[in-house]
Amino acid sequence: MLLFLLAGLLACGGAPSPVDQLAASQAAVRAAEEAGGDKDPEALLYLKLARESLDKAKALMEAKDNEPAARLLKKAEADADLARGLARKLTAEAEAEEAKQVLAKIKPATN
Amino acid sequence: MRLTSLAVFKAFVFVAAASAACGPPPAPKELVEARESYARAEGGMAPKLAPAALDTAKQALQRAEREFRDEEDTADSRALAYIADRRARLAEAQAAYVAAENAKAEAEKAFKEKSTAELDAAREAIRKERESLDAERKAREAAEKGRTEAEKAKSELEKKYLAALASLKEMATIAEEKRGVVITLSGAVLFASGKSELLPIAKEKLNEVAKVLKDQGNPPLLIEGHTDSTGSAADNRKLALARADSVKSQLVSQGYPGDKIKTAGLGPDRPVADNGSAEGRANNRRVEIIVNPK
Repeated sequence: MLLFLLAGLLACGGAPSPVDQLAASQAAVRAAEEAGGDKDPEALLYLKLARESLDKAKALMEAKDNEPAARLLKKAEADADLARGLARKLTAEAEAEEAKQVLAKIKPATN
Repeated sequence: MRLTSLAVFKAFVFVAAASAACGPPPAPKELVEARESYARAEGGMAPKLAPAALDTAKQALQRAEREFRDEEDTADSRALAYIADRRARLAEAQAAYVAAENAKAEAEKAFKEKSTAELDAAREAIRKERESLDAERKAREAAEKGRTEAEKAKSELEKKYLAALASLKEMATIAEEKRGVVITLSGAVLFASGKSELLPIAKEKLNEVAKVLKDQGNPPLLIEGHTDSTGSAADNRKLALARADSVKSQLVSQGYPGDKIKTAGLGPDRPVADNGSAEGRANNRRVEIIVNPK
């Protein structure tokens, strides 16, 4: 890590390349996708924001513009986390609704 | 780009507040939004259902506020505010998630309870059915037992009857004929020649006959007197009837119901043996008791 940081510093003389943040943000996006972030319109909004930020950040990193890249990646992670939370919420709400419907369908117990 | 009137209003309020306090410059819209999101989360279910997520959001907001206070409107402070806004929204979503999970668990629990109740009802129905089947079986068994006991009693009665017949056989002949069970008593045992009074020994024997027949439930009897062909047939018939009546009186004296007994004086009319020989005549002199005459 230290070696990497040193290498980063030596390479461009600016902020280090935010590779860890990139990985964390990418993981957050994947988790949101797995939670069904594409299916819920509200979650999808934040998931799209996360993907856009991620793409921009990658381009910035290519250009060694690491500082704004790191900022974008953090925002992307926050967006992806929110997308995941919203998707989870939606799934749970659908399941709760289904459980209530099943409950309503069961014929009321006699005596 | 078009600013919404709300955003304009918010900006105005903030600017007014800021200039009145002579404090920091207007907050960027990211921070304003973050504050609103946090206030909304804090005012909702999050403090109760998602306290950890709300705390994360609070810290993110405080960081953004600090950054804005120290560094004012920079890219970094905007990014932190942006992130704080997402954290606050996440806390809200998390609270809704927990609420939904709770509702689901509650519904599932109620479902389980309901189905348990239904299961109990089904079990109860099966139990009742089994009970009624049991009762049916017991009734059947009781009926069977009653039948067996009745048959046993009947066979005991038959045994008694057979034993009675056997004891009668010692002093009389017993035959099952079409007209009923016929007990034939020899005239020599019962009466002196030409008389209709019973001999003492005959009374004893008849008492036994009475006892046996009473044990059989007082069946109707027909007592017939028979004679040999010696002498006038009319006299013989008269004697025969008198003898049958004597037998009847003896039985009645032992408690046999008189209305169950009929008597007849047949005289010489129905011999069972040849009147030409002494032995034959002796056999013809007799009293017949027909049990259950047909």
